[in-house]
Formats: sequence, C-alpha cells, structure tokens
Amino acid sequence: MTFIWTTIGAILTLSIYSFLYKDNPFYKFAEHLVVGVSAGYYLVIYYFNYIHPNVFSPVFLLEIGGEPIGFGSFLWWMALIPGLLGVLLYARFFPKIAWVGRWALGIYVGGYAGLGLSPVMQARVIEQLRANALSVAGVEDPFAAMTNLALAVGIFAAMIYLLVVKRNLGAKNPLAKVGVLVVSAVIAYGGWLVLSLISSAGVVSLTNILLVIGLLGTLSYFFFSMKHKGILGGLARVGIVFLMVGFGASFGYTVMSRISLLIGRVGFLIDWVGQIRGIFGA
Amino acid sequence: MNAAMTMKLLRCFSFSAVVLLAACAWAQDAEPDTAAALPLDTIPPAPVTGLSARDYVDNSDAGDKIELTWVLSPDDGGGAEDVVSYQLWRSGGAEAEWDSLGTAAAGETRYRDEAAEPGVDYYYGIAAFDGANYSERVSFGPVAGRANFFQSSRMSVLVLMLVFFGMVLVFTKLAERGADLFVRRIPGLNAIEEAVGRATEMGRPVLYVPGIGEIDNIMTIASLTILSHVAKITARYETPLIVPTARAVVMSAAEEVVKEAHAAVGKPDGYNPDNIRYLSDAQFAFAGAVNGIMLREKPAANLYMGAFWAESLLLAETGFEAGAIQVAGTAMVSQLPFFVTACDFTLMGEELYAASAYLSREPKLLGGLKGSDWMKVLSITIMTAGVVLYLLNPDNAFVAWFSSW
Repeated sequence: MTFIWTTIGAILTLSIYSFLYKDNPFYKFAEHLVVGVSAGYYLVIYYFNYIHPNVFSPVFLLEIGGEPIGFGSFLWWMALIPGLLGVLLYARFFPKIAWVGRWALGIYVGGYAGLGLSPVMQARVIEQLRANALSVAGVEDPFAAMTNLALAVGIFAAMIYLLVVKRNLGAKNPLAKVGVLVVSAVIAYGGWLVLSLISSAGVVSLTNILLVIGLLGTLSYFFFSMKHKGILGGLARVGIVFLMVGFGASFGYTVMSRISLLIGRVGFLIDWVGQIRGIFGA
Repeated sequence: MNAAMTMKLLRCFSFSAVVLLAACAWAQDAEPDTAAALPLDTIPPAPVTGLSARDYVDNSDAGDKIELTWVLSPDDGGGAEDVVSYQLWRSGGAEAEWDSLGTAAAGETRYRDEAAEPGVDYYYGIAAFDGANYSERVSFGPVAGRANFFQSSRMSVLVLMLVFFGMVLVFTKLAERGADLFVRRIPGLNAIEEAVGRATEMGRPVLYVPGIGEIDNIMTIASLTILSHVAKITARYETPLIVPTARAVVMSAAEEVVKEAHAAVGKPDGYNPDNIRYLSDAQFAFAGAVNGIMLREKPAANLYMGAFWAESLLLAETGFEAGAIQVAGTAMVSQLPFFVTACDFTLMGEELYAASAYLSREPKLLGGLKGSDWMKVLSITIMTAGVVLYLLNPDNAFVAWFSSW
C-alpha cells in the first residue's frame, strides 16, 4: 500500500517538474488536483482547528478543551461574540447590509494592530536604534575612535561626492578637481587605517561603521517627502547600494536552501526507483 | 654551690624544660581527638522573626516575583553564632505540602521567589540552619504576585509612539484641510502604467496578484489601493484584468474595488466578475494555479503587489519565462531579492505604502506616510548623536542614558 502512495507521489512530482519543459496535460492535471484537494483540505482544517474548538464546542456543547463551561458564563460569551463577528463578515454577500461586515473587520484589524504596536516599536525601532547608535562600541582607545570617525566621515563624503557632485558638475569643474584630490586622500587614508585596524577590535569597529553608514543611506532612500536630489540623492544612492548587496546575499542563501529542497525531492524519486527495482527483482 | 652542683641543676632544668615542651606538643596534637570526643550539637538555632512576603514590583514585573524579608535569627551574628544558612519553603495553601524553594546565606534578610504563578496565593516558610539542626519553621501567607499595570521600562516605547502618532495626526489633519503635502513620485508607478499600456497595445490581459496575505495584512490593504488605480486604467482602456486571490475575504474585497473602479471611469459594464478568482488557500497550490494562468491566458503584464512568501520566485520566474512585463511590490524583506531579480521593476518595502498614499491622496495614508518620514529623520538624528557622542566619550551621561532608555 505504501508503494502505491509513493508511486502516486512520484508521478505527481514528475508531472509538476514537466512544467520545466512546457505547459502540458500532466502539469494541468497535477495543478488542478492540488488546487482542488487543498480547497477541501483547508475547509476541514479550518473547521476542526478553529470553528469547532473555538466556537461550536463552547457555544453549543458548553465545553472548552474538554472542560465544561456554564451557559451564559464569561467564557461562553467570549466564544459567542467573536463567532457572531465572524458571521457578520458574510454580510458582504447581501449588498443592503454589507456595511455590517466592516465592524468585524474593524475590530479584527484594530485589535491586531493595537496588540502589535508596542512590540514592533520596541523590537524594530528602539532596539535597532540603540544597537546602531552604540555599534561603534568596539573602539575603546579615544585616538582610534577619532580616526575611525574621520574615516567614516571620509567614506561617506567620498561616496556622496562620487555619486552626486561629479555627475552634476562635470569632471572639468574646479570643484570636481578638488573633489578628486579629496577623494584620493580619503581613500589613501582609509587604506592606511584599514591596514592599521587589522585587529579584532578594529575590524569589528570598521564593520560597525559600515553598518551605520548603510543604515543612514537606506533610511534616506525611503524618505518620500523630498525629491532624491543633492545630498539626499547621494545618501539614497548609498542606501540602494547597501540594499542590493543585502539582497544579493539573501538571494544566494535562499537559492542554496531551495537546492537542498530539490535534492530532497530527487532523493524521494531515487528511493521510488529503488522500490520499483526491488519489486521487479532488478 | 660548687661547679658540679651547678651543672647538675642546669641539666635537671634543661631536662624538665624538654619534657614540658614535649608534653605541650603532645597535648596540641591530641586536641582534635579531644574535640571529636565532644557531644554532637543537638540544640537548634533560634528561629527568625518578622517574616514577611510581598508582591515584588520592578520595571518588568509580570506578577511572577514575590519578595521575602525577615529579621535574622538571634543566633546569626549573636547568641550561639552558629547559623550557617536559611532554608526556604513554599506551599500552594495553608494545608498544602511544603516544597523546597531555596536557601539564603547567613546574614541575608531578603530572598526573591522569581517562579511564582501570577495571581496564585502562596504561603512561605523559613527556618535557620546551624549545620546540624533546623530551627522552628516560621511561615507567612497568603501572598500573590500581580503583574504591573504600567511597565515603566517601556516608557521609551510610549514616548516614541506618542511622538510618532502625534506627527501622523498633525499631517493627517493638514491633509484633510487641503494642505499640499509633497510626496515624491515613485518610479515604479510609471512602470505600472507602462505595463498596462503595453498589455493594451498587445490586446492581452493584465494579471494582478494581491499576494497571499489576509485582509488584515497592511500589505494587502495597500495592494487593494493600488489595484483600484490599476483597475481604473484597465477599465478606461477596456483591457481585461485578472485578479487571482488566495483568501476568500480578499477576493470579495478585490471584487468591490475593481467594480467601483469600473463605475468611477464610467464603464460599469466592462466589469467581469469571473476575472476576480479565488484559487486556493494553500500557498503552492495557489502558485501553481497562477502559473497556469500565466501560460494559458498569456497576460502581457504581471503585477505582484502585497504580501508574498516562498511562492514569489515561482511566480516571477514563470512570468519572466512567459515574456510578460513584470512589476512587483512587497514589504517582505526576504522575498524582495527574488522580485528584484526576476521583475522589470520592484516597489521595495515602504514604497508599496508610499505608492498607495500617492495614488489615493487619502489623508490618513498621507498622514501615515509623512509621519513615518519624519520619524526616520528623528531616528537618523538620534542614531548620529549616539555614534558621535560615543566616539567622543564612551562614558558620557547621554551614552549611559541611551544604553538603558
């Protein structure tokens, strides 16, 4: 019996993979099968995981998780009210009372947002701000701190210069020539500092400085109240560079995990072939 | 006294001294045995007094901490001076059994139970221990832990939220009064219009996927606003618009949006309800079905706007293979790389919300966008100040405050 199910799984897997060649009846069959089966499956899952234990059981059978509750008790009302709000969602099928469904949606969205506000502000704003503001903590020596600060400002200025000033003024402009000198000096100074910072604390500090620069640039990119021109434009360009580097890393990492999924599926097919060979004694 | 007599006396004295010293040394060596021979301590120390327990209140107290205090046993630091520790017990009722809670060293007058169930009445017991005997157990109760009404360690969250919502409210009011709030045009919006235009030229449909998020997902809501904009353009050009959905409520919301868009441009008859489709709640079944639509109905423009998970690359890759112009928009950071790679244009993160505010000019959306913009300015300012002040002096007061705010 197991072999039959494995065979069905293998045939459906091959049918889905046949899409790599082109759309074909096998793929269509597998696609429609999975869509149809999932619709029925989710109906049952939703009923038994949500509606039955949270609404039907407490309201009509007067029990929650096997424990009896009283008719009209607090818990009974706490099951009935959300159940009724859920029913209100179906009011949209009756145009005259469709607006009633917005009450349920409003309570649902509002409650969710209210509960999420504090943790989101804490975890995604305050903690990240704190971590980034103090991320240069790898530097203990005041001289190293100041040179790192100078390096950070230099890198930042050089990037903005390269991305904005030169483009806007043209390479022949005297300011652009001065800029070339400044950028060269900053790069040389930065190189010297990088060499001198090849120690664990120095590397940590340099990485953190890059992190701060990246964050400032990225935040600037997502500033919508001004046009991306001038300094803001330069900052935004720095931000987009960092974003793309991050996306590249994330893309590679995910492709790696997808390849491991593919290996798992191919392993399943190889096992299936092995079972066939076992049955036919090959 | 002659010399011989003197010598005799000296020898006698020396011998007596040696014997005396040897006796003393023997007595010293023998001392432990003498002590071991003493009877065992059978006298328990005097019990502690003044045991008290109360709900402990600190910045992050969830009602699971109860603090015990007591007055030292008279034999701790005085009296017999033989108390070595205090044994503590806890019970769930006056008649219930005592469970060992822990020990406190001699001289300690405080102990914190950090594993209490909030709201449960507990009884606490304590006895002094002298290494051999426990004193009489002294008990106190009942006492229960209560969660703090206000968690003062989250004051920074409250302050920042008040600042943020204050800005949102101010900008919303300004927008309602007709103030011209500038929002830069998102380049991706031009791409959407180009994509729809191209589909019209080719006489093929536009596919709009609002993600697989529920209707409570803010990305889905933003997506429906953009759908309204897209539906108006397609209605105007009489281009078919296919909207596959993975959630029933999203489908009915999308129906309303597209229908209203057709009515708004004066072409209500162009609305085709069969093109707003519910496919499946199952993520990959949905992805498979959308891929099928891409290959069979051959839309010339694929727009993916909303919350996407692992199906993002499956959709975008198939659309790319089918030769459609593709524009995506999502705030799902983990899926952005795939859209950036496989689509012609991508609205990244907050651009999705900015696009919906830009298109709708809805005061609440504009207020939210402007509020979050100035929140970013505040964040940059705080962060830069933190970095600079830390570099100037890691021990300054601001850094100390910033580390713990």
